[in-house]
Amino acid sequence: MNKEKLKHDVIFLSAVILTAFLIWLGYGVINNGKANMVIVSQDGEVVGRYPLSEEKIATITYGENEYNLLHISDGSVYIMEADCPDQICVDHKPISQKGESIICLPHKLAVQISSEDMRSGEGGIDAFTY
Amino acid sequence: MHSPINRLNRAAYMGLLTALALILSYIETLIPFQPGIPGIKIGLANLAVLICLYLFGWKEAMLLTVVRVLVGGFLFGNLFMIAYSLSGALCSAVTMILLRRSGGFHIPVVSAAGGVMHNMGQLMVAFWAVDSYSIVYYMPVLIISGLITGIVIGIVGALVLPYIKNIVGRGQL
Repeated sequence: MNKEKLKHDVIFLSAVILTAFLIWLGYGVINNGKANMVIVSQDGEVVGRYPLSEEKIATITYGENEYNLLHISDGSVYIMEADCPDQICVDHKPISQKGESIICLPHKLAVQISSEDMRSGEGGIDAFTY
Repeated sequence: MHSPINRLNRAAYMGLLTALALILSYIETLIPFQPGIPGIKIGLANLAVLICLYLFGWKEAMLLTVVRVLVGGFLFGNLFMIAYSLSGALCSAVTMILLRRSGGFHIPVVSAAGGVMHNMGQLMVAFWAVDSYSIVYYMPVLIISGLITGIVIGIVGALVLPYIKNIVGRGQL
């Protein structure tokens, strides 16, 4: 073991771990707050927004006949079913905290938990009515 | 390494390493390891690239990276997966080549950097595909997972390299 190399190794690994930690911390600070909305976007466009408190099953279609089935219950969301090839979104754990998201890459889908106060007015959609 | 015999030898070893990379990719698809986060993989095929880089050099490593992604993609995946893994594999290969050149790091750390950059490259394609900043949520976990898998692959590589070098050096197999 080369001492000089070992020093570089340790510095490098620490820097990488620190970077990961800072990103995690920063993301947490930005997304600090109460979560109450589920924002569904496809290819960057918001295609659905649902209150987190409501029991709901939503079908998000992609293209002609592909889909993701979204299940919202007890303040958390998960993908029940999808016909995407990799099924990564279906295996994802349910999300409930603000800033968490489920991604389905083959369907360009992002399911994200947010809070309405921060999001309102954005994208011209403000159809959140009680 | 300039005589025709050596060039033939090298072509044969490159063929072996390509086969090794493809077999490792295939074995990886058989391992039921699905944490539900896009991009987390063990990255076994990276072992072949790492060995190639330390055995022959950067040109061969780049060639192996491109060939294994294209052939592996057509065998086990689809066109989107090729774009996805090519960006990761190229980021990883370039990073490992540069770190090896610098000469300042041990093999497991070079491999770890490759693993991290592999995930970052894939995340870039994911960001472009999904177009949502929520992708950032996955960054810390992908950095750490790339680091761990990269170190493990790197340790394996560092352990087997002396033996392979010995065999290749004597021109026998």
